[in-house]
Amino acid sequence: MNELERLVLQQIGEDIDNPDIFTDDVVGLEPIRDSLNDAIQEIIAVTGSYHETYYIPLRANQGIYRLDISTGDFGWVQNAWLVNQKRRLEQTDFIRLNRFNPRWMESTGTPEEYFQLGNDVIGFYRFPGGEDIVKIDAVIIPKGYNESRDRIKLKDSFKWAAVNYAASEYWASRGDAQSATREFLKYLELIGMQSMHPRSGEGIRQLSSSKEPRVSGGEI
Amino acid sequence: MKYSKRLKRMRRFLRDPDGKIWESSYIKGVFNAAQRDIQHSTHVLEGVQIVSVPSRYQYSYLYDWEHGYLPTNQKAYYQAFRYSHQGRYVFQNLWEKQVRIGATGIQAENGNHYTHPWEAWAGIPAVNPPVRFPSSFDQAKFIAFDKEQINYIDKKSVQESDQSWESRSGEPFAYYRTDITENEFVLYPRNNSITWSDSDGEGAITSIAGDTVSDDTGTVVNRTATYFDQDEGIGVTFLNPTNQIFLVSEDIPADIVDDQDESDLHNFIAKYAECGALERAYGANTDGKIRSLEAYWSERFAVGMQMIERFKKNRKSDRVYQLQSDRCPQTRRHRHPRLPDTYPPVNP
Repeated sequence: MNELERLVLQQIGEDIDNPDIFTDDVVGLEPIRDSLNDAIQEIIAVTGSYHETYYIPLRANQGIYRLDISTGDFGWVQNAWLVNQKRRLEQTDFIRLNRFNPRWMESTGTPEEYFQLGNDVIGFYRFPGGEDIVKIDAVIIPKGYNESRDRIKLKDSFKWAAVNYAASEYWASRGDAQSATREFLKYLELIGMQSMHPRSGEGIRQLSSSKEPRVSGGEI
Repeated sequence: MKYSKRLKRMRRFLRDPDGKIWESSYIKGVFNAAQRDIQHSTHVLEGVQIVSVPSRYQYSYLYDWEHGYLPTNQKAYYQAFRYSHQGRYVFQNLWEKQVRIGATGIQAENGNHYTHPWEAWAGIPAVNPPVRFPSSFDQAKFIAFDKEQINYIDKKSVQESDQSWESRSGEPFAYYRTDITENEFVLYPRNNSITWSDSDGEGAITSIAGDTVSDDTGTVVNRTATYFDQDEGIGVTFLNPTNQIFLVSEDIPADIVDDQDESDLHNFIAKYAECGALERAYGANTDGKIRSLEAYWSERFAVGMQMIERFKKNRKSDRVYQLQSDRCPQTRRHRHPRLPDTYPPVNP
């Protein structure tokens, strides 16, 4: 039983030293582990708090690569670094590329930009003219942990959020919707989800410099 | 995660481990419905495929009634020749239709007819062959053939501008669809040649060296002639669009059929389909109907939709955005060739 599991059992009123339902083994802790794993995955998908680094060898004329990540699901690229050229690659997408150059896939040379497609595909513009290596820092949504000793890929400050999530699901499985909702709202507060989509005040937002006259009626 | 595990979890939340209130088939149905709801709301599932030209069909058939006897575990079927829907007969050449009614003016037609689409490139076809979209395809976002984008064009526009549209060959720059039900499209014009990289024996091309074909559709090919595997640090497969169709599409998650199936959605996103299924189960008119739990899982599903939107936004977090006013000169980093501003001359 790891620390998070202990905290969840405390939260729901279970005896940690002598649990009668959630015994300290793989079967006994399965419901709690499932909930904690779901919480960890969701927190990382929303906050991007865990990443892994990959070195992708580029091959000449091959510009689109499907990545097979065995440790979890591919989230998104945070940084892409072209090792030989010692510079960052900018993020773009194929809509923009089509606007600037409808034959962008025929263009080969040193990659300048990268784009993500689907769940697990990354592409480069230009298609590499020769061999190189791209180092990418990618947010990975990890597979769940199975054993007590497995590493928990969660930032400490989100620990209690995961506990609230698991407690919420526990109460839901007991049929107590009120307690489940209370715990879930705490979880949302702790990961800052409630402020991620704030209601914006009505008004037209504009940018202007001090050299330009203010536009009446708008927010500056 | 296999659906069997998801089912076990959902049963735990339903407090119905033995299926005394909700049957497994019902839960599977609402789970599949929730998956589709997620995709319709968020468009999060995006397919990226290399589609081979010619399309690889698993079976050809002639009559509509034959369709019901085709193997149900495969999906790529081609209805060959021309089918008269009301007369319920099949013909190849237009003159056959005329002879049937005793007409004397025989309609000449250039080109051959074929039973499998790949045969179209073995001669000169009278009608250009179709190409299959993957079975999960819903809407196209980007299609390129041989590294150049091709755009959708409707049949009306093609017919208005080209008398030989049915058999035109050349460098494809567009595609049109015969109908949406068949999940097919036709390159316009048909590409002149294809790469017969490899074949075993004679007749239909059954394998191309270095390619793997999806058993599901028979059409989707990943080019894996060279790749890195997990032992090299990360598994990588090339998607090579040379002489093939590069397709980016909005997909529909495949329905779960078997308990060993896995959802097409990301693992953490499929969790929200569980929430949607639980909401429906608790809201269904059964002995297990509980409004408070229906509301709880409904809220979880709604929050899940927001989480997915946030996730999609995060995927663009490395973009560099620049704000400009109309007083700034516009910068063009990637210039198209263009004529000078003074050309052609502008009349006063």
